[in-house]
Amino acid sequence: MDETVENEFASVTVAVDEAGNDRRLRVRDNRTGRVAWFDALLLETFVWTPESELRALLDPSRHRWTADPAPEGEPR
Amino acid sequence: MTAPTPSSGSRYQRLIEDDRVHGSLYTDPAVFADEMERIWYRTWVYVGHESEIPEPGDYVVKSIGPQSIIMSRDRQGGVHLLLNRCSHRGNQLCEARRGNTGALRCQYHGWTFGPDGALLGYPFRQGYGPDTPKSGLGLGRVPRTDAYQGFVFGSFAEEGPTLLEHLGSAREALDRVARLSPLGRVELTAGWLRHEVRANWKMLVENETDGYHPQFVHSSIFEVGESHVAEVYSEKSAATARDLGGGHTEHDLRPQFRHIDVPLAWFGTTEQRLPDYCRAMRERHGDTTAREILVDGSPHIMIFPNLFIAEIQLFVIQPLAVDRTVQHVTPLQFAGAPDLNRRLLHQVSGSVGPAGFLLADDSEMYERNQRGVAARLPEWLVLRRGLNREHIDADGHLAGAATDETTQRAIWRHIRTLLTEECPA
Repeated sequence: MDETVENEFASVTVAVDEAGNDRRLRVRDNRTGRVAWFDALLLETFVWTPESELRALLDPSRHRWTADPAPEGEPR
Repeated sequence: MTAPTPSSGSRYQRLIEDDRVHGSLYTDPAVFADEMERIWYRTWVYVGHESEIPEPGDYVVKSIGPQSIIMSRDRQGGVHLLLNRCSHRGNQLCEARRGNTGALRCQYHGWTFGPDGALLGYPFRQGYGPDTPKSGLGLGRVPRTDAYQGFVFGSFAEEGPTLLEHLGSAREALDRVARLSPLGRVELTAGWLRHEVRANWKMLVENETDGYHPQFVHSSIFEVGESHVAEVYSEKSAATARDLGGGHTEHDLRPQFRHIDVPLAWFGTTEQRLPDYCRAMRERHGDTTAREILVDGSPHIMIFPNLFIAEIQLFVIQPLAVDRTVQHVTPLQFAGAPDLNRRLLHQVSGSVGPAGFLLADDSEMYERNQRGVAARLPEWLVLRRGLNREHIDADGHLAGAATDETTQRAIWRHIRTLLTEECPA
């Protein structure tokens, strides 16, 4: 079942995706349509990620709004 | 109406006398500007309650006068008071009144801040070069933040009296409120009503502990409701108008309710209607103390300059301009008291909600008052009532009868002190 999770800064739709061999979360950025999948290990990793690293991920220049080239084979 | 002389401390000595005040104090934009700098941006001002941001990442948008303030909770549980302004080009950061987020992102250029106000980053960092430090580009912070019984206050003054020194004798009223919870905690979780009036903020402050007006302004409520409230605001009332110092004033209803000696009379209900709450209070405090608490009830106190607790509800006064003021109102809610909380919500909706009389009646008076003081003559407002009978009580506070203007004189004495005392450079 799709669930919208949002605040005034972002809006995503979250669903449990069963297309693969294990269940995972499918997260869609409602403002751009971009989709990403998060398996159990990735989510567990987030649980163990220190706040300082999570804060670093929130830097807009880190991945999304940057002139740096995207890692090979990945879309920017 | 404008004040007769340029701004100075001596001007306010002339405009604020012990038993009368000049009408221009309510209408002159220059006076309002002085009040913002010397009162609202200097003393401790109530901002919000910790129960409004229970979880890490929670935030609410509050105010200190016209200043928009984000009250946020970080992952470690710390509470922050941040100015609602992006440090980049000054855009308002939060538009929603409340929310939960790991970061605050400006909608203008994407600058992103932690719940503690620290700058986490901005888009396209190459445009700033490698030497631009993030540490000096965080959100503006209210320099001092402190809380008592979960009530969070902020002060724009880097130094000065502590919050406890500021609260002084008014602190006991916050203890009284918390003690009405079977778990000892106030919760402001029922939502807010926002009501703007075309009137000066001091008219509201003065009115909150004015025991002289209810028999006139609120007579329609007294006529339709069966309660003891009308007796409280009569010349025969045992209630006391009290100057608590520091501009804080109370209308102490306890003597009158002790005279009536019925638990929950202050709330216009009975123990039989709230059996779970009364049982929980007896279990926490014992029969005798619980009965005393339930007879005494909740305080009626104006904590200067903007926090008014009126037995069952809490008002926050927000000045916007010399003739514009917002009242933010919410029912008091108490941890561990769901039956009491439901009744409080209904009663407050009835008194200050869209169909309520209480706020509407007072607001009508505020706006008439604002229009009235614009008249050129007479220039002064008279605050003499009760001068002939006020006294120092057992706790050393100046006290008057229920309908006396002891409290208005106390408020103005404090305003005069704040507007005339030397400011640090």
